This record gives sequence, C-alpha cells and structure tokens, in this order.
Amino acid sequence: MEHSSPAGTTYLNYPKGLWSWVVTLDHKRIGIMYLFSVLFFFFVGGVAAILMRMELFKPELVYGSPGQIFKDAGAYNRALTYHGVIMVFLVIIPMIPAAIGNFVLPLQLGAKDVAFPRMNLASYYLYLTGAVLAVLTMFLGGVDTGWTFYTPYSVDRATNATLMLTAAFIIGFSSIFTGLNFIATIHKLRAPGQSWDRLPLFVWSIYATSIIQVLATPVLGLTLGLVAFERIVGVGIFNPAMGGDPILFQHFFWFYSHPAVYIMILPAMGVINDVIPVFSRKPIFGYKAMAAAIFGIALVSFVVWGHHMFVSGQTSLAGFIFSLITMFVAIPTGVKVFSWVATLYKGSIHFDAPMLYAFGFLFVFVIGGLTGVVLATMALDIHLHDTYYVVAHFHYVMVGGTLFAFMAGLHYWFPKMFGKLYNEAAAKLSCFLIFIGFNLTFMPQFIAGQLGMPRRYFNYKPEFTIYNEISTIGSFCVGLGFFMALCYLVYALFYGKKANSNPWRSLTLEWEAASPPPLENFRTDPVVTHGPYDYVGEKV
Amino acid sequence: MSSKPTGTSGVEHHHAHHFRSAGHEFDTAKLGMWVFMVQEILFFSALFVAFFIFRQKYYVDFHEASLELDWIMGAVNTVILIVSSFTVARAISSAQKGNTEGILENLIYTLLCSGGFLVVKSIEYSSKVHHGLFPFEIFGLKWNVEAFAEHPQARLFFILYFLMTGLHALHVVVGAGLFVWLYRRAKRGEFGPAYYTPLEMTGLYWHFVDLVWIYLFPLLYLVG
Amino acid sequence: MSQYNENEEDQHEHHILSNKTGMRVFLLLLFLTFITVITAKFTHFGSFNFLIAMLIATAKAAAVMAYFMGLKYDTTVNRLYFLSGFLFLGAFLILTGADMWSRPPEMRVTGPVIKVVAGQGPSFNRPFEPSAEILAHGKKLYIENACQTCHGEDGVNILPQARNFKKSEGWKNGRRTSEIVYTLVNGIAPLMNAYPTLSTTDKLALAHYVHTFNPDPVPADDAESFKRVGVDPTKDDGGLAAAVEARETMPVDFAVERYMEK
Repeated sequence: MEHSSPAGTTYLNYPKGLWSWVVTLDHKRIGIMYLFSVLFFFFVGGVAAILMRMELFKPELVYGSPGQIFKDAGAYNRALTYHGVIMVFLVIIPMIPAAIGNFVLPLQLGAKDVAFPRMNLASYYLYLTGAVLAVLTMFLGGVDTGWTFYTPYSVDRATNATLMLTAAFIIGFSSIFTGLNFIATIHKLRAPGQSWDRLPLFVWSIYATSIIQVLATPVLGLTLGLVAFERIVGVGIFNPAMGGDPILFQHFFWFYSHPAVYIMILPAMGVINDVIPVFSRKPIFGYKAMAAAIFGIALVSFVVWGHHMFVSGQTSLAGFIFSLITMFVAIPTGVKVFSWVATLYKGSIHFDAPMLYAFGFLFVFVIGGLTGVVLATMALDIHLHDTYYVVAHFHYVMVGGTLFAFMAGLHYWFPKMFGKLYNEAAAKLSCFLIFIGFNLTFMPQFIAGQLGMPRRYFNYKPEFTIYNEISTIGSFCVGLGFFMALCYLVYALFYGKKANSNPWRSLTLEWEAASPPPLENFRTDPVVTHGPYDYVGEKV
Repeated sequence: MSSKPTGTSGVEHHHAHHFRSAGHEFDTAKLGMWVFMVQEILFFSALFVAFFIFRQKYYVDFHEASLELDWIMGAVNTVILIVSSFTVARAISSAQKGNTEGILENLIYTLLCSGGFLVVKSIEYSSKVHHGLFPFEIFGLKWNVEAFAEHPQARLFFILYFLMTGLHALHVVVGAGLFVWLYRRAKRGEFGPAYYTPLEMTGLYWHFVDLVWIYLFPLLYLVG
Repeated sequence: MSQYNENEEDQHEHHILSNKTGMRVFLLLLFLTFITVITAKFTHFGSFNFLIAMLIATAKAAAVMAYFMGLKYDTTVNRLYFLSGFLFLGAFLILTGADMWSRPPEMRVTGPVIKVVAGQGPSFNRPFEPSAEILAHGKKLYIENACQTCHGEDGVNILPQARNFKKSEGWKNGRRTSEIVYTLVNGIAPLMNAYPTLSTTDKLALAHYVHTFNPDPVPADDAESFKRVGVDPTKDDGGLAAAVEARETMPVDFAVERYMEK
C-alpha cells in the first residue's frame, strides 16, 4: 500500500484502474462502493414500495382491472417481504454508517484509514454477497414471511426462506465487522489533539451504533440460523410439538431488531448533530449531554424489545415491564431534540440543502418519536398493533428520520466526496417534493391505522379508501423527488462546479483535507487545536 | 514505520502504515479481538438463554435426559481444554521471550489437545446416534421415542445439547486450523518479542473457546 | 514525532505470564473442575446444585479471563468491553425469562373452573316426551342460543351446510329425539358446535322444538339411545332431577381474564 500519493491526485483517480477499486483497502473507496450499492438497493426496495402503493390505491380490485398489480395476496406478501428485507438490511442499516461513516469517520478523526482495512473490504463483500443472495430468492419463487420471519410459518411452510435467512446471516457479519472496525478506529486512531471531548458528535453516534451492531447482530445471526436449521432438520426449539416455543423466536428476533432500529437512527442523529451547528454558525447546545444521550438511547434500546410483542402471547407482566422501560427512551431522545432546537436559537441560519433536510428531519422525527410513545403504551398498542398506525410510525422515524438525515449528510459531504458542488436550486426543489410527498404518504396512514386498517393486507374495506389514495399520490411525489435528486447529483458528479476544501466553512477535521481527499487523507499530519463546533463571533 | 528483526531467522514484520508503531498495531488488534469476543459471547447467548428457559420449564425431563450424557467424557474434555489453554499461554510466553522452540512445542501440544477434544466429542456423538438419541430428522436417523416415552421434552434437551456442543466444536475446529497456520509461521521464524500479534489474538480466541466449555460442561452434563 | 493521540491507554509493556503463575492458574482450574464434579455428582445439595455449579464455573472463568487472557494486566477498556458482553447476556436472559417464567401453568378449561349447577333451570315431568311446557322452553332456547342464525327461524336453513329441519333427509346422526340430543352433546364437524353449557333437559327441549318444524312423524326412539346421552326413559324425571348435572359453565370474569392473559 502506498504511503503518499502523487501530488494533485485524489482517492478517486489514484490508484488507477477498475481492479484497484475491486481490491481497494481505502476506506473512502469502500465508502463510495457502499454508497452506490445502498442507493441501488434503495431503488429496488422503492420500486417494491411503489408497486404496493399502486396496489393499495383502490380497495378490492379484481386482477386485470387497471391499478391491480398483484395477482393474489401471496404475490403482495412477497412484495412486502422484499420491501422490508431490502430496506431494513440492505439500505437503512448500512446507509449512514457504512456508506457515509466509512468515508467520513477516519477523516474526522485525522486518521489515515480505519483500524482494519482488510476487514473493511471483507465487510463490503459480505454485504454484497448477502444482498445478491437475498435478491436472488426473488427469482426462485420468492419469500413471503415478511421481514420478521416469524415462526412457525417461516419454519413449516414458507418457500425459499432458507436461502434468504442465510443471506441475512451473511449480511449480519458485514454489520458486525463494520462495528468492530469503527470501535477500534475511534479508540486508537485519533490524531494528536483529537481528545474525546473534541470529537464531532457524528463520531460519538457512530461509536454507539457500532457497539449496538457488535452486541445485537450476533443474536440475530444465531436466531435466523436456528430457523434455517429447523427448516432443514425438521425439529427445533421453536416447535411447540417438541415443547419448544414460537414466541421464543420473537424474543430472540426482537432482541436484535429493536436495537437495530437504533442502529438506523443514531447515525442519523449524528449527521444532524454535525449539520445543524455548521448551518447555524453556533456550537451545538450541550455537547456532553448530547454525547451522553446517544449512549443513553443505545443502552435503553437493548432492554425494550418486548414492546413488539404485546399481543403475541407474552405474559402481561413482561408486557408491563417492557412498556415501562420503553417510555424511558423518550428522555435522552427529548434531550437531543431540545438541544437541537436550542442550538438553532439565535443562530445565523443558512438554508442550504443539508439544513433544509435537517429541518425536515426535526419535524418528522418528532412526529415519529411521539407516535412511538403512543405505541409503547401497552393498552393503546393492543388496538394499534398490526395496523397502519405502526407502519406510519416506523416510516416516520426510519424514512423521515434516517433517510432525511442521510440526504442531509449526502448533500453536506458531497463536495468532500466528489469535489463538486450540486445545483442548490434543484436540491431545494427536490427536498421540498420529498418532504411534502413523505407527509402525504404517511400522515393519512396514522388515521387509517387508528381507524382499524390492518397492515400487510392486500385489500381493505372501502371506508379506508381516501387515506390510501392520498398516501399513494404522496408516494409518487416522493419517488419524483428522489428521481430529481438522482438527476442533479449525477449531473454534479460530471459537470458540477469544483468545490474547495471547505465550502460550508465547517470546523470539523475532515474539511481540512482536500476535496476530494488524496489516498492518504491528509498531506500533512493533522493536529487538532479546537473543538468541532467552536463557531464564535462570526459575522452574519 | 519501524521494523525489528524477530525470530531466529530474522524475519521482519512491517506494521501497517496507518499505525505509528508495531506496538500501536498490537494494541489496536487486541482491542479489536476483545470486541470480537464480546460478539461471540452474544452469539452463543441465544442458545444459553434457550437452555436456561427450557431447563426451568421442563426440569424433570431435562434432568433425565442429562443423565444419558457421559459426564466422565465431559470432564475429560474439560481437562483437555484447560491443558490446551495452559499450553497456548506457554506458547505466547515463549514468543515474548524469543524462544521459538517453546512456541513450536506448545503449539503442538495445543493442537494435540484440540484433536483429542474432537475425538472424545465424536465418540460421544456416535454413541448418542447409536442409542437413537439424535434428535434431528436428517441422514435417515430417527429419534428413539421409547427411550424417553415418559419424558417427551428430553428431545428438546438433546436438540440444545447438539446445537450448543456442535457450535462449540465448530469453534474448536476453526481454532485447530488457526494453530496449524500459526505453527507454520512460527517455523519460519516470524514470531518473537517484537511481534507475536497473531499468536496473542488466536490465544485469546482459544481461551474464549475454553470459557464456553467451562459453562457448557456443568450445565449440560452435571446439573442439566 | 508521535502522530496519534497519546491519551488513549496504550500498553507500553506487554505483560509476560510467568511460568509459576501460569502453572498455578492451571492447577487451580484442574482443582475447581474436580470440585465441580464432586459437588454435582457425589454430594446432595438439591436445588442448590445448579447455583453451586454455576458459581464454580464463574470462578474458573474468572481465572481464565484474568490470567490466561490477561485481563488483569490489560486496559480498562478491554475489561469493560468483555464484561459488558456478560451483562447484556444477563439482560437478555432475565427479560426473556420475565415472559417465559411468568407464564401460568398450562391448564385445560374444565375441572375446578367448571361449576356444577345441578337443580338450576326448569325441569319437566317426563322430559323425554314433548309437552306444551317443554316446547315453550325449547322455543326460548332456540332463540337464546342463536340456532336460527344457521337453521332459520322456521327451521329452513339459512347456512347452506346447516340441516334443514323441515326435511327428513340428511340428518347425519339421525332424526330421533335422542339422536338430536346426541348432536347437541357432540356437535358435527366442521360447523355444528357442541353445546356443553346446556343441561340435558335443555337439550331435550330443543330436540322437541326442532321436531315441530317437520311435518313427518317423529321416528320411534329407544332406551339405549337415550341412555347414551344420559337420559333414563324408565324414570319419570328422566333420571335428570336427582343426578348432579355437571353443566359446564365458566364464569365470565374467568373467561375474560384468560383471554386477556393470552
């Protein structure tokens, strides 16, 4: 591996050649590969979503009539399974940590690379292998268990589940290795002067995310492995005829999958933590509390999984305990939301695209979070479980939260990654479209769900029609917005104005490297002399 | 970037460029290894949780089933693994003192132990199969229902027994493979006081494998 | 010039495990293994066995972790990480247990829950024969138990698979009074329920009422068939008044409670 690249080169053009990308050990290149892969699978999962929304535009359609997409409930179930599996495992979980984090983290720390570059490349190829296998099952008949693979259906009857379970297992290890790598990097590869209290909060959030990845994902791996195994050998611990328990599967599954949603949202919060100070030209309010809140959220996330199981058959004692503890996660989350608002207060706000997405995030994340508290209330969840209320809640936090933050981060770090500037007007327009479209899509779903429309249903009663119609129209708006974003970003890649190293005048360390950075990140070894958000005394 | 001659044939180790020294690389690798082992704890945890849950629920059946296990063989395996942990620690001390013969000798002992463990395990497994106590419906084997007609949940015990010891044995096999690799590198003189990172990391892994068995043995064989 | 942050707890000395310490730890582990086996197999601490075995195992684990794995001489960070694994394992176990171990013991919904309500409800003289009173009672029961939702208010079935009482064909168990009672006792799969909450007297009443829909004469019955459903036609009360009728009923609160638990 070279230790200094020729002057004038960037990581994009040195070393040269396709093969150098295939075997690269450079975190920036790996990050970019993740970025393109994640965006590709986002497109695939998005197509599934659009098809589902088209199906749900009108109730009780007969196959062959306009608007009827799926020939039967089974086909619809497969679509929703692929939408879920692709979006959860292939898109939202790796989206910010692997795609953005890989690129940005070492730069923010002042390091030359992550701690274990070969493991990093292995992570990427594990991800790709699992992703290809998962999508392959589509062409082998398709899986229709839902992304949650509940037993006994996933053991006894579902088709092709074994291959998909294997794919998820493989992707799990990609996630674990990434987390492991980041933990070691953050501990060991900080530049001189980069003390713990000078770390950007994006780093703190990646750190907490990595801990969750390392602790929770192995349980998922083993659990899905057990289901696959049970399919092959015919008996297992989830089989009641043997004295086993299908609810045990749910405990095991959600022990991972609840912390998993925090793997999704914590990096998103991290991006917002970095974006808001830059575009309000103010230090973040309550840095230490923010860092502590990140860990508070991560910690609580491990002991609340039973709130996905209020109506599964777990005892009311367990339900009570999980409901109570779940309420606690609102506290550190509230600390963060109020701190963001306090940061904005009396700041000098610049309404560039990253900031617009951050504002969008604040609005939709609060809605998503509050509706989460509603669902955590056991008594209410009994009514709302498996309705569209839940669907709306998690899309508000995952799409509204993670995806908006991803867009904020993508636009914020785009000049650093590619050395180009995108068209700001186009960015604002597509942000607007996405925001409006998003709310149109999911706000009516809260109402439909509360009125009783069940989720994962192929058809619905006519009284829910208006909500579904609005929702479908909204989804097209979102799709259009993302398509626009794709267009102007690709255009910017080739024809955008050249960016200097710090177009946003940010104080975090990655902006001291060139845009795009050379292979070794910094031509001279960086030394950190100030905090990440020390915006003081700036003129408006 | 520094490199010092290590081992008897003076093979140099170049640490990776993003570390400032071999020591820095070692410490980072160690942290990474510990985090990996945390992950391994959680990987096994689901099976342990399942075992604890079902043991409490079906106490009598599990107890009857565990009487079928040969605790003497289990104890022998426990001793074998403890010996192997000791010899691995000796191999690492040898490296730290620059004693290549010590490394090689102790690695051989460790390999012999891991082999011995697997031999005992296969004797146990085949005995179970022979008595129809293999709970899975593969390879044409069938569960011997009459053996535990009064205690139907014994089958669940055996499912967990095979899953837990099987997963553990898989880790032993991987460990054995790693020791072979280490032996070859040690023979080439790659390890010495300035560089023995792979030995240390594999040693940590192997102690973890021992740890799991320290819990498996009493849980399955003695108080199951 | 040091390129990286020196704040991080770096190990500048690698601890070497001395032969003496190593040997001691090794012997300790062998000894503890010996103790484990002795306490489990050759002593009788009863239910403490499990706890003792786990404690000894933990002691062995601690020795391996501290000395062989070197945690005693390692950085706090590494120690924290490894031990946190066990912490989360504990949380996983305890909270899953909170559900699994608080499950009530499985019980069939009969036995002590079911109240015996002998002597309640009307009784009739010679209930195995129709009379104005028993017919009136049967008519009331027909509506109370929603029979008409499948069999129609006039006995003509609304549900295609239900019996048409006006016709004499297709009665799976037979059309005699005792056989109608038999159907009410056992149901007919898949759609006809059994009615364990009705007393035998009530079932007889319904049987008599059902006959009224059909113009054809009621087929003759016999004592064997009646005895099969617990009626004794040689006695005036049908053997029903004196018998303790185990009418299977369940208090509503209990039913709601079990439902909510599930």
